[in-house]
Amino acid sequence: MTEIRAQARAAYDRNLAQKNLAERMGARMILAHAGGLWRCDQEFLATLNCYLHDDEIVLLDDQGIPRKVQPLELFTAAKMRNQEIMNEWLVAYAELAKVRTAKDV
Amino acid sequence: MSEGACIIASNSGALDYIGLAAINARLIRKHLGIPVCLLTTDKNSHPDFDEVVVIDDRPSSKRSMLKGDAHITYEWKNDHRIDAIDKSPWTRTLLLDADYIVASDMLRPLLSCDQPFMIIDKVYDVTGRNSFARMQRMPDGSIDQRWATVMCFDRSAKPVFDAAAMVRRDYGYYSAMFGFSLKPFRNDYAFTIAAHLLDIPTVPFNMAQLPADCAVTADDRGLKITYANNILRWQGDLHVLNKDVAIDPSILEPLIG
Repeated sequence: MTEIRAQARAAYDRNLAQKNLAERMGARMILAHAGGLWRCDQEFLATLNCYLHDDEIVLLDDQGIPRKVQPLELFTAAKMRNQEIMNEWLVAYAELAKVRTAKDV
Repeated sequence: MSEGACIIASNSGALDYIGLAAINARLIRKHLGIPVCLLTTDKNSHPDFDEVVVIDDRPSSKRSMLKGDAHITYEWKNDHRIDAIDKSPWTRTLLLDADYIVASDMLRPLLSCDQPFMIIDKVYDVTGRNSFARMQRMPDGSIDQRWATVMCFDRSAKPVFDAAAMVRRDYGYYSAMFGFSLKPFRNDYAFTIAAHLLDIPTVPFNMAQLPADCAVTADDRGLKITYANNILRWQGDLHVLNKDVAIDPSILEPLIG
């Protein structure tokens, strides 16, 4: 009876699950390159895209440190990392979307 | 240059921190692909680790933690972290708490970065209850608190460890200055002060942390967390404050796969 009561009361917060997923995937979006750490999100890819014809540029990394980088090289690595994580995010998001109640968790 | 992880663990009463570190060592090899060194006061053989460094015992203090609806009290041996720079066999070290569960590659970039020392800046409560809000800053509210749970450093980070050792030595003075308790000694406070003194960059992501009142089980889909009638599934790195995983580390074995 106690177990049935606990199951009936158990709650699952879908918004929290998606928020946690976003935080987790965001943390994995970091790439080490040229001694710095870079967050390979869409904004960063768009920024790099402006410099693809330059041999060398200076950019602030995710810790606010200016670094000389070769934009094409960094763009290629960042795009790859971004898509690797985004694909995982897509799969995890779809899995979470299927969970409707606590017993499915 | 060699790189690897270090876990400082010594058993305390019912808490099997070495067993927990052994499971974590396997998770670190699986997700980060680096060797793991155990720093311990226990002189027995520990085949689960790539390296074992025996360290001298240091004074410990009693600590009380919530376990279910009750509290457990145990000896907290926690001030060895400051000596890790001299004891680590690696030139670039990822130093982790035994109860920080590695379940992804998110810490990997820290080893390839050229910063001599990095430490966690912010944590978040995965249950969404914001349990650690009061710990975002030092108790007197003067500076942001850092978290010594995860640190990455190379041999040139000696000044940071020297500064943390200075805080440990004059802990009474700093406890009065920043408004924290004299006991137990907290690495978080020592390294927070050191990091602020030396303007150290922080890790560019937040650490997921699980409050002590949450129960944890594991299966092949990751961790299953229950708290206050809520259930949550977790599949990433997590700092677990609940001591059940230290009492019975085999709870986490399904994560190894």
